[in-house]
This record gives sequence, C-alpha cells and structure tokens, in this order.
Amino acid sequence: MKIKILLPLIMLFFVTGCYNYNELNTLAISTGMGIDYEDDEYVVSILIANSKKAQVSSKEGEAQSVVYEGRGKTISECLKEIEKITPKQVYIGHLSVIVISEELARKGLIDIVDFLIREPESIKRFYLVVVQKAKAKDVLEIVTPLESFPAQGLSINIGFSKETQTVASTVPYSDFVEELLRKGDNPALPTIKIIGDSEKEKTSDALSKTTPEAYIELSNLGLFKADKLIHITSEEESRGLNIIANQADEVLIPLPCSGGRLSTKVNRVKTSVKTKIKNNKPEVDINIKATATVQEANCKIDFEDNKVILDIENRINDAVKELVEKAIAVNKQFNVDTIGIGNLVYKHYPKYFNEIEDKWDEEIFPNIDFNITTKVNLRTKGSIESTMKGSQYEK
Amino acid sequence: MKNKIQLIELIAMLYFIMRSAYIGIGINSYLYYARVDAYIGIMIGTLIGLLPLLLFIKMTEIDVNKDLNENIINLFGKKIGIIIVYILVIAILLYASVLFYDIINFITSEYLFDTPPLAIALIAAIPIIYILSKGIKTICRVSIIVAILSIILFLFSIIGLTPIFRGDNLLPFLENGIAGPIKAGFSHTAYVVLPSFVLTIVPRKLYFNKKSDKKKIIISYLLINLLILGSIISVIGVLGIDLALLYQYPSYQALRRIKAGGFIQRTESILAIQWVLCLFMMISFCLYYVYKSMRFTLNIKSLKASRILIVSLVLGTVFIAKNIFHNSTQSLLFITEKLPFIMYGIFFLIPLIIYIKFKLTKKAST
Repeated sequence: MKIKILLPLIMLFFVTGCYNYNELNTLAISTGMGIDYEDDEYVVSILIANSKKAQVSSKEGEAQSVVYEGRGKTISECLKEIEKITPKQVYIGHLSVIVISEELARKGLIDIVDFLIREPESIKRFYLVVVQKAKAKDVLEIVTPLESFPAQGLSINIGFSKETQTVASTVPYSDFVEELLRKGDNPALPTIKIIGDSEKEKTSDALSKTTPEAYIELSNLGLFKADKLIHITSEEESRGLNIIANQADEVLIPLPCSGGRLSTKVNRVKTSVKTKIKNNKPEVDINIKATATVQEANCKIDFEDNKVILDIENRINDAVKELVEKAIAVNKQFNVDTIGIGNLVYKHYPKYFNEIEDKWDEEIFPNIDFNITTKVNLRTKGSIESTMKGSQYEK
Repeated sequence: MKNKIQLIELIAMLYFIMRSAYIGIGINSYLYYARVDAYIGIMIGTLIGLLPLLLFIKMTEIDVNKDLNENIINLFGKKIGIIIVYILVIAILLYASVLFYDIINFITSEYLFDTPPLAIALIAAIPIIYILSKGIKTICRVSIIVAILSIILFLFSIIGLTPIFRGDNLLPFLENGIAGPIKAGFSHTAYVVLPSFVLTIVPRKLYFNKKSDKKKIIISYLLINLLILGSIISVIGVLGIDLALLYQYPSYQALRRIKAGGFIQRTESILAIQWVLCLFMMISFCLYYVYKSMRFTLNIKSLKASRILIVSLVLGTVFIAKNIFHNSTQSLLFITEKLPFIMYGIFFLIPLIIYIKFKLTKKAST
C-alpha cells in the first residue's frame, strides 16, 4: 500500500519536464548567420530575432532583430564568443539562411561544414548563399521593409526565386553537403549582391523610407570545385543550370518580334538526363519538356495563324537549348561538373567511372558530347487572343 | 481460456523485436557493410533468417506444457541445464543493455543534450517495472496497442518521405559485388532475427494452437521484413548513401525532411516515437525472459520476492546500460565487430544444440 502511494509521488518529480528546460525568453533565436574570414580567423555574425522586443513589436519602426559578432578559429569558438556578449543562449534550430563571404567561399568551406551538420539542434535544411564582394555581416544588417527579420526575407526570396526568376536555386544545406560528398558531382550555390550603400540601410530609420538606400539582390549561381568557389556564372548560365537540375519552375524567354518584343514564360519544366557509354566515352542525352505561355507581346503578330505559333515554339525551344548549352559550356570551361553527370555515369557504369574518376573533371567531362532535345509546347496566349499593337494597326 | 495469449499478440512482439533491433543497431551495420546495396542485404538476411526462425518454432514443440527453461533442465540435467539457462540469460541481459544504451544515446544526442543519461534511463525504467510486474498477458496486450500505433506512425513516415524519394539514389547496383550484401544479410539475421529467440520463453500451452500458426508466423516474419526493407530503401532514397553513412541516426534525419502539403513539417519527433515504443517493448520482453528464468532457477515463489527481483533486474540493466560503453564509438565497434558472433554463438548454436539433444533423446526413448 505504501509503495502505491509513494511511487506516484516519486514519479511526480520525474515527469514535470523541468530538467534542462529553456524558456523562450532565455534563448537568442538565430534566424540568420553570416560567416566571414579575416586575419586567419572566422568571423561569425548571428542575426537574432529579438524575442523580448518582438513581444512589443507594435512600437513603430523598432528593429526586430540584432546582429552579434564573434571571432575564432572554429565556428563553435565564434558562437561562444557571441554568448559572452548576449545574455541569452544562442539557439540555431531556426536558422533559415547562412551567408558566406565570397572570400571565404574561394578559400574553401570544408572547415565550416562539419559544425553545421554535426550540431543536433540545426535542422540542416536552411539555405546557403555566397555574398559577392561584400561582408556576410553586412547582408544580415540590412533592414528590409517587407519582412521583420532580414534573414527571413532573404530565405523567402531564394525560395520564391525558384518559382519566378530561376536565377538562384534552392540548395538546402544538407543537399550542399550531399553534393560535396557524392562521387562525380560538385555543388553550385546561389549568390547575392548588396546594391547601394549598405551603411545607410543598417538603421531602423531606413524602414521609414519609401525607396531603400540599399537592398539585397539575388544573383547568379556560383560554381564550386569540391568545397571551393571557382566561378560565378552569368544570368543565362544560371538559368541553364537550373533547367538541367529541374530547379526551374518559371523561365522568362524574351524573343525579338517584328517591330517589338515578345515575352514568353516557360513553366512546368521537366528535365531528364541520361548517360550512355559509346566507344568507351560517355554521351549525355538531355531531354527537356515544358509548357509556355505568352506573357507580353509588344509587336504586330498574328496569333491566330498556327504557323506563327509553331515558329514561336521553335524559337523558344532554341532559346531554352541555348541556355542549357551555355550552362554546359561554363562547366566545361572551368573543368567542373556541377551538373552531376559524373555521378550519373557512376551510378549506371560504376566500373567505368571508377577507372576514370581521377581524370573526370579535367579530361573526360570537358570532352563529353551532349545531345539536347527540347520540347516546349506553347499552350496559351494569356487573356487576349491578338496583340494590342496588332489591333491598333488594324484600326 | 482467458489467460491464453492470442497469436497476433505474439506476432506483435515479433514485430517489436525485429523493428527495435533494426532501428537501434542494425541500420548502421547494413549501410557500413553493403552501402547502397543494404536493401539487398536485408533480402538475403530475410532468407537466412528463416532457418533460425523455423528452429525457434520447432523448439516450442519440445514439450508444449513446459517453458523453455524447464525443457532445458529436463534435457541436460540440473547442472548443465542451469549453466545453459544462465548463458542465455546473460546474453539476453547484454542485448537488452545494448538496446537500452542505444535508446539513451538517441535521446541524449538528439533531444536532451544536457540531461544526465541516468535520469532518462530511470524514467524509461519505471513503466518497464510496472509492465513486468503485471506478467506476460499484460505485456502482450500492451504490445498489440503499441504495435498498432507504431505501424500507423511508420506508414505515415513512408507516405511523407515518398515525394522526396529519389530512385536513382539506390544505384549503382552491386558495385562491389555480393560480398557486402551477404555480410549485411548475416548481420540482419544476427541483430534482427536471432533476438526473436526470447519469444520461446512463452510456453506453447499459453497460446492457441492451430495448424496454421506456423504459416502465420512465417508470413508475419516476411511482412515485418518487408517493412524493414521499405524503411531502409526510403532512407537511402531520401538521403543518398553518402549522407546516410554520415549520420549517426540516418532514419531520424530522413524523417526531418518530411514536408507534406507545405504545412506538415518537423514531424520527426512525433514519428520517432515509434522507435522509442519499439525499443521499450523489446527491452521489456528481454527483461521478462530474464525474470522468468531467474525466478525459475532461484525458485522464487512469493510475490514480494518476485517484485524485488523485477526492480533489481530493471535497475541492474539501467546501471549496465549506463556504464556498458564509454562512448558511442565503442558501442559501434562492439555492435559491428563482436555482437554478431555473440548472437550466432548463443542464440543459434545453443538452440540448435538443445533441439538436437531433444531429437536424440526422443529417438533413444522410442
């Protein structure tokens, strides 16, 4: 009888859930991290969603976040430095983006990848971006008028870019690590640029302006050889790479048109990449299927003529093919296979790949023949049948 | 009739035994030995495992009215019989401790980083003490409820992972030949099939005997292996072999990627409950085996002494689990390099010897 009374009482102490608990207001919730490399050490900047202030966020113009900086030889050392400054414990479970400076990316990321994949709190699905010719810290400090937290704004922008721009690509951190480890593959990461004077945009006063003094712009993809950034591609090359990688939800293809310009939107892009070995040499077939719509037609063109539609389709096909060819060319030029052709060859012809693995990037990949076929179907022309210019001329 | 166990309850226990071993210790070994061909290893292991499974079924037929320990002593005499019983008890206690260590390690490495392992182990120990004190009928009833929960959560996980599954991650096929998958297959039998020996502690008279029982057990065994196969295929297909090899708990990391309908995400903790449930049930049953054997050999009859034995056993396991390995590397080395030999040596050879002895005795008496 005694034990029946005592046991529940003892259990009460065990099941309160109070051991090792953390209240929300004791955590410094980090939504963004910037990593720079200066004087042989890492400089980690942490963007903290200021939880206490966020509770009284009705205060007009008040910044919702704060950036702290720590230096050290490893990321952990830097974070410990930051914890000396902030009265709260840094929590990285809600990281949405990590910004790496171009200088560090060119030096190599191998020394920083371990911490972020090892740390159990980190979800490993945040985005990794490289900032061109600027400090990573500056990116975190730019106050954005449309989002409470700058990092959140950047992460949403990257995700949205896949659907609308197809210049940047959505590479979650664990995918980057996977590409880094995978045989016959190299990673490619999106880059960003700071446009304008970032110093003026660091204060909360910036929020009161209708035109920002500085803003962050998504830029093109950076090609990596193993963990080192070697080249930043052009916009067209980035689009081509995203089309091959099935990362393109929407691609704008502008075409010259009689007396004006025709904008078409290519969407539902489905790319299949297949490899085969012919005469002891790999061959690659890239097959792209997509649908297209006319988005803007500032020229006199007869949309009711099927030949015209077929002609536009052909021109879109050529344009898509050209984007893909440019993407392949830039990979070949820098002897780097970010498309993952090597990995495909390895998966289907492992014995062959293991024999030539050492010379894949330098000798084999640059000499591969790519057969690109595109099949874009121009389905709709938007809400109107003809063009405004055409109708005006008819008058 | 009321005290009898349904076959389905026994099958639910088989599910826990096999799933818990796969989650706790199996998956990393399969990936280590067979890499991307780990699923072929499981297929091979399923076939190899049929042999010990049939042996265990045959063992329950030695004397249907007696439990395993009584049969061992009847066959080998008291001295040798007790030695065999205690070898089995020690091996099962070791196996339960390894699983207990694994569950504590999983919780401390993924959730409660700063909580002392002892606190976690003690919390897990309380329901085990309770369930053991209630006897086999309660264990089996709990197993049915928990099995339904666990299977539902498992199916949710598989459905959630399907959209992010990449079939080409399962290639190349047999890059390094069949040796790796065969090793993985033998590991699968060692970790997943051989522990089902603990079920032989339940005397045949306690559950309904039908002619179709054997067939049902074999079909269930194949279905459970199919679930395990689905699990490893989804882990490799979602993470890719390189990341799967990198993580300490690859299945958990795969669950972290579930994102359904744009709003269902970060469900890993809910889905990971199925592992905790599996491990909890498995440890409970292992300790039930140890408790039954010790109670029989020490001739404990009073309720008070039985309860003291249960509490001591569970706390002893907690103590062993906490101190068995210095770190996770040591545990991984033990699991991959030593445990398979222990499993084959004790849970295959000893039952085989018992069965051969039974056949010889039977032949001599006729």
